[in-house]
Amino acid sequence: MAKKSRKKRSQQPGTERATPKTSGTSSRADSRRAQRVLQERQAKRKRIYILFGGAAVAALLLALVLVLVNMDNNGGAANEPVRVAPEIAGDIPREGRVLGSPDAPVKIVEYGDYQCPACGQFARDMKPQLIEDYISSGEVSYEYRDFAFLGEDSTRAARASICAMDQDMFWPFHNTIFENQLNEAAGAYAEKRLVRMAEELDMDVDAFEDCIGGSTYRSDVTESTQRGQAEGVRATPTFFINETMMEGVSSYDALRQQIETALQNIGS
Amino acid sequence: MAKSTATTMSQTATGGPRGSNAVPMQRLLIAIMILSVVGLGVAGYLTYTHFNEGALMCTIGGCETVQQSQYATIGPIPIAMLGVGMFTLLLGLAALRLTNSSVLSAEKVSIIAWAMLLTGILYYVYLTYVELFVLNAICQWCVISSLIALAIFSLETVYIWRTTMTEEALDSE
Repeated sequence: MAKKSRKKRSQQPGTERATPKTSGTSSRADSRRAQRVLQERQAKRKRIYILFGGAAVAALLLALVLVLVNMDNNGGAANEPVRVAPEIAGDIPREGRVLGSPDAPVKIVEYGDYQCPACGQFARDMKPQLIEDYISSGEVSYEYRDFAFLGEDSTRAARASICAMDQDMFWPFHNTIFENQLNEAAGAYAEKRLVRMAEELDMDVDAFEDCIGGSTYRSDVTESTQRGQAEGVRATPTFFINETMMEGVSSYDALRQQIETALQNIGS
Repeated sequence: MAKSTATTMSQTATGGPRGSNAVPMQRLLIAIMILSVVGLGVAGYLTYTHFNEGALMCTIGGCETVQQSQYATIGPIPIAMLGVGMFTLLLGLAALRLTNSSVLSAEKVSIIAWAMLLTGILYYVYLTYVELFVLNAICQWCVISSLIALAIFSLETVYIWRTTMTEEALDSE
C-alpha cells in the first residue's frame, strides 16, 4: 500500500508510458491506474475551466449591464420631452448674460439656480413683463448670475448655459432651461436632456456636447456661486436692484415697487 | 497509512486547505481579509463624502468633479456604495474559507469571489476611462480602491490555482 502510494505521487502527467515494465500483471495494473488518475485530473481540470469560463462570462455580462445602466443615468426624467421657450420679444440689446442697455440707470442682478422653482417662476412669468415694462425702454438692465447650490443638476445646467453662450445662445438656452424645469434632483438637466434642448434650439450640437461632456466651465460656476456668497446671497432667487438686496420675489408688483424706488432715487 | 488517508479525506470534504499547503493558503486568506478591510475603509469614505461633500480630502485631480458627476451613481445608489458591498462580501467569503465553514464548498466560494472581483475590475476600467476621457478629472481614492481590488484579485487567483489546479488539489477528491 505504502509502495503503491509513493509510486502514484511520483508519477507526472505524460510519464506513465515511460515507466519501465518490471513485471507483467502488476506493471499493467499500475499503468492502468496511472492512466485513470491522469484522466480524472484532466476531467477535473476541464470542469474547473468550464466553471471559471462561465464565471468570467457572467462577470463580463454583469459589468456590461452596470456600465449601460450608468451611461443611461438619471433614467426617467432625462427622457421627458423638451420645449423651447418663447423668444424674447422686441429687439433687446444683449451682451453675454446681461439683457438690456449697458447704460440703463437701474441694474438688476439676479443670483439664481436652475433647479429653484421660484427662479423658474420668475423667468417664465415675470421676466417677460419686466422686459416689456422696463428693459425695452432702456431704464433697466437685467443680469443673471449662477448660484448653483441645489446639486449636480444645477451645476450642469449652469455650465450648459455658458456652453450656449459660446454660441451666442445664452438667453434662448437660459429661458429654455427654465421652461423645462422639473422637480429638484429629478434629473431634469441630465446631459442628454440638455443636448436635446440644444438640438431643439438648432445649436451646434457637437460643440455643445464636447463642452458639456467634460468639466468645462465648472470653475466659473463655482466662482460665481462663491461671489454670490461673498455678496451675502443665502437663497435663490436673490436680486440686487442697484445696491438694494431683495430675497425672493413674491409678485411682479413687489419687484416693480423696488424698480420705481430705484428710478426715483436716481432722478432725485 | 489508512488512518492518514482518512484524515486527508475528511479535511478535503470540508473544503479546507490540505497538508503542507494549509499554512500558505491561510496566509493568503488573511491577506485577502486585510486588503478587504482597507478597501472597505476607502469605499466607505467615498460613500460618506458622496453625501457630505465638505469631508472629501483631495490633493490632486478632481475628486469633487468625479464624485458629483452623474457617473458617480446608478439611480439613487452611489457607486462607492457598490464598492462597500463588494469589499464586505469579499471579507465574508474569505472568512468562510478560513473557518472551513460548510455553508458553501470552498470551490463555490472561490468562484463567487473571483467572478465578483472580475466584475468589479471591469467596472473600474470603465469608470477610470470615464474619469480620464469624459470628466477629465481623476479621483485618487477611486484609484486606490481599484488597486486594492486588483491586488485581491491576484491573491484570489493564486488561491484558486493552488486549491483547484495543482496535482495535489486535483487528486484530493
